Amino acid sequence: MVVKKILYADPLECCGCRNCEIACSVAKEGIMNPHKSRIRVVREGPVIDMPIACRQCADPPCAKPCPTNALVKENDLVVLYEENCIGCGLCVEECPFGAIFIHPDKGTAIKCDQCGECLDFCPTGALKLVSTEAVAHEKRIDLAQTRVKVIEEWLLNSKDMAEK
Amino acid sequence: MKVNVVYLTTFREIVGRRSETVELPDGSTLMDLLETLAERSQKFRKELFNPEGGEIRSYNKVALNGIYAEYLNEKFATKLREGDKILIAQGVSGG
Amino acid sequence: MDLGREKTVSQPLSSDMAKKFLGGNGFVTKILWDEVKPGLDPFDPENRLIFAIGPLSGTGWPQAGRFEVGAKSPLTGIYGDASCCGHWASELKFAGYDAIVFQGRASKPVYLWVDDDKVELKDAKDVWGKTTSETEKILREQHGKDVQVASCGPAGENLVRFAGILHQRRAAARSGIGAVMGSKKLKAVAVHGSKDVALADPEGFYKFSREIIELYKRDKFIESRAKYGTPILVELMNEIARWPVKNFQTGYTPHAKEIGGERIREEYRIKDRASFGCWARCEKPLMVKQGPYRRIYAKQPEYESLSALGARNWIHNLDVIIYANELCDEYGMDTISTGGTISWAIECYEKGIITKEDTGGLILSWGNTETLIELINKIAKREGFGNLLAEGSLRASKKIGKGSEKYVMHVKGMEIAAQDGRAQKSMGLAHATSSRGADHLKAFPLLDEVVMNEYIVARYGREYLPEMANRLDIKHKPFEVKDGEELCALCDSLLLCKSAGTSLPLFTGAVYYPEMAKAVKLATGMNIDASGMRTIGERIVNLQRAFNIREGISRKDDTLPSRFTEEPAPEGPPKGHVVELEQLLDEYYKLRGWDKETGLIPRKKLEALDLKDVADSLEAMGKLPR
Repeated sequence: MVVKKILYADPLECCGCRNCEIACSVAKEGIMNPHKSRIRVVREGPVIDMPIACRQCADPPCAKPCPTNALVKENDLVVLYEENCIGCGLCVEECPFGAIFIHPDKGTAIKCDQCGECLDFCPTGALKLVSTEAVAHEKRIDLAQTRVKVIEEWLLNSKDMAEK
Repeated sequence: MKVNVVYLTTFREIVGRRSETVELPDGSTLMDLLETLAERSQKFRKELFNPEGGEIRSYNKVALNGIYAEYLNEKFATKLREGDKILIAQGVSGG
Repeated sequence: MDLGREKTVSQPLSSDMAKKFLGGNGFVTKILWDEVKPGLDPFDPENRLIFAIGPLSGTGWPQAGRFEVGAKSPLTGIYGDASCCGHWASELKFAGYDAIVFQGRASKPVYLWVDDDKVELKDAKDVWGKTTSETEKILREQHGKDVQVASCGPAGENLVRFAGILHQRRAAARSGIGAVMGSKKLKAVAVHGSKDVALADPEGFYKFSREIIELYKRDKFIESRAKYGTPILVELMNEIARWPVKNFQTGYTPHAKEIGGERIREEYRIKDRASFGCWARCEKPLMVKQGPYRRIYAKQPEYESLSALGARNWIHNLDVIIYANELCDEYGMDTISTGGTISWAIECYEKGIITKEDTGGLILSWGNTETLIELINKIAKREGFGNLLAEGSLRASKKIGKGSEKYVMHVKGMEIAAQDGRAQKSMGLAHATSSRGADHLKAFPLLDEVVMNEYIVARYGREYLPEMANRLDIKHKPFEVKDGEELCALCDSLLLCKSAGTSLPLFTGAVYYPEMAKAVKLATGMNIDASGMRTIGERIVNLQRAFNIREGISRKDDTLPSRFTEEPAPEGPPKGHVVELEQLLDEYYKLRGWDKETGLIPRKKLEALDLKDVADSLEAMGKLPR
């Protein structure tokens, strides 16, 4: 069974502080360098902040062109076998999210492996590692809740229950 | 007697309004007022008072007619009078 | 960076400079002392414009996302600096630099492009004349979306004396440093960096920084800044009548709730936004949902801007203030000096000192929102009456004469911020002694702002109560201000946020001299202990003072407007109070070890701070106390 998890934050809850980048870079590399963080925050316009990390696609576009099969779908993750990576950059071209890129020193690919180190460093709690089912469920609940108030008002304002 | 209470900072959200008139028995103290308000809302009590009760959390500030309680002679035992204005706020600073 | 000769020199930071001044305003102070001759016109090409960061910048240390800019101020003629948060400081560190020093003037508008080791002056023809956020947008399109840009706006280009420098709608606002930037024909500094932030002991550093982060996670002030930002202070300060109303005629308005943080959060706030490595996320984009100003705004006005563009001019229309604040940001002007100068003009008009003839037909009145907007536009463009106001309220009053000087609410030529000294005496003293002119941030005395008894006891001892916590009592305030100045000088050299990061250094002491010493040691390997850190703070304060002394400052300039020292506060808790400035200054100078009569620094004090050359220099000018 696939329990697909994604690392994401609602762009209206993420504050763009990049503490997740700091946490990732420090966890993986021992120092701070945003180009070495596997999660990258994009700040766009007055209100959008989006942390972007590998979405562990079921049919990963990055794996298709890889000449050495360094990217392999295993269980729910897209696993990068660093020792096989030749640093050609074709995966970077194919990923629609910009979530895989080349390590500035090593010259080989790096991407998020959902280790979860960043999660404790989000000041707003916006950053989550959640199953897609949980994301969808929350959206369904949000939608239903917008109807609750309207419907309750209507019920209270109706004179005769038999009218329904 | 009636006193006016103004809620600032986070207390505004907890209580849901900026100010209100509160009816109290004559001779009530500042602490009596706070207890009366805390009775109405667990959330308010939790935010205002220390968990052990009895004292307000150190980062909260209560002022009577513009003077913070710490500077009243009787502090929280000060007796209130008709028309007094009490301010309840989280003691935020910085500018 | 020599703009005249279009030459750059990259040189490694000297360890002596690092050890004695650390970074930020420490570097600014030292470079201004060394390189800017006394009496120099701040618009002269030989003025320096210095951008500086510190040893914690870009490391991910919490609340360390700020950068400092300094120059000799065209508003005051003395030491000038301002700091700003966002993501520029960290980017400069990623590019591998600690400071950029500009001298000279370019022959045509330029901007500096810094891309790791590549440093190039580029033609600014596409951005000269544009607003600050347009400039940022254009330069990012040209150089890359992750490029960080700091720029002056049209106000800086037009040499408005209180123009500032903006980055991502955050402002390094005061002292007119934006005008110095404009005078050098320097439009922007765009930075991109990709280097590791090297540390002496990265493992130890990040272990320690995580301990501090845990403290910030639980901190009540951070929680408040995250919910409201600085506007939460509006109603609080109004209740103690410390909120400037009608050019400080009084300290209270019944309409404060219209423009306070509680209302903004409830009716306007969209979300929170933060600087690099910040936990307070105090920035708030807003939506104005109806009316002529209906749209999305990138930033809420800060407490100071709500004051300066609001109640100080008797304006309580939040939509208008939000719009006016954005105008000032886009033009690149300090809201405090803008609002302060306008409120001076309105009071003079009210009293018949300024007339329609002076204003070119404009009617100035309290609460007039159209006039406010029109004046902001005219000041930025130096048009008509705006051309006079662009000089700042002190210079403008000297041109007008007729007793208008009495109503200028300034110290040393800079407009006072949103603190009525009569309602909090420590702020009054802080304004009078601040090295950049009237300013609360150099000393930032907060322990008596909202009664902080337990922090006073923990920091100084029970013997300082109850007076130190009583904002209307002058006792212990010189000590509070003196001590605060050193702590703030240190925070500003490490570029630690004093506003949102306020509580940990300034209140609880959880990030105090010992912790700062430890952080600096782990980051740089430099072995400076807690008392050594305090000495650095004291050294910076004294060197800034020495710079000002060299420019002619002495006790006679450590003043407050007569409104604060002679006119009793008309209402509220401070009713009847004035600021007993002379008494406060006497004790302050004594604590500082400065000469009581003149406010000059004795040789003994300078030498104790390793500033012997400064003492020699001042002596040669006859500027040591006899």
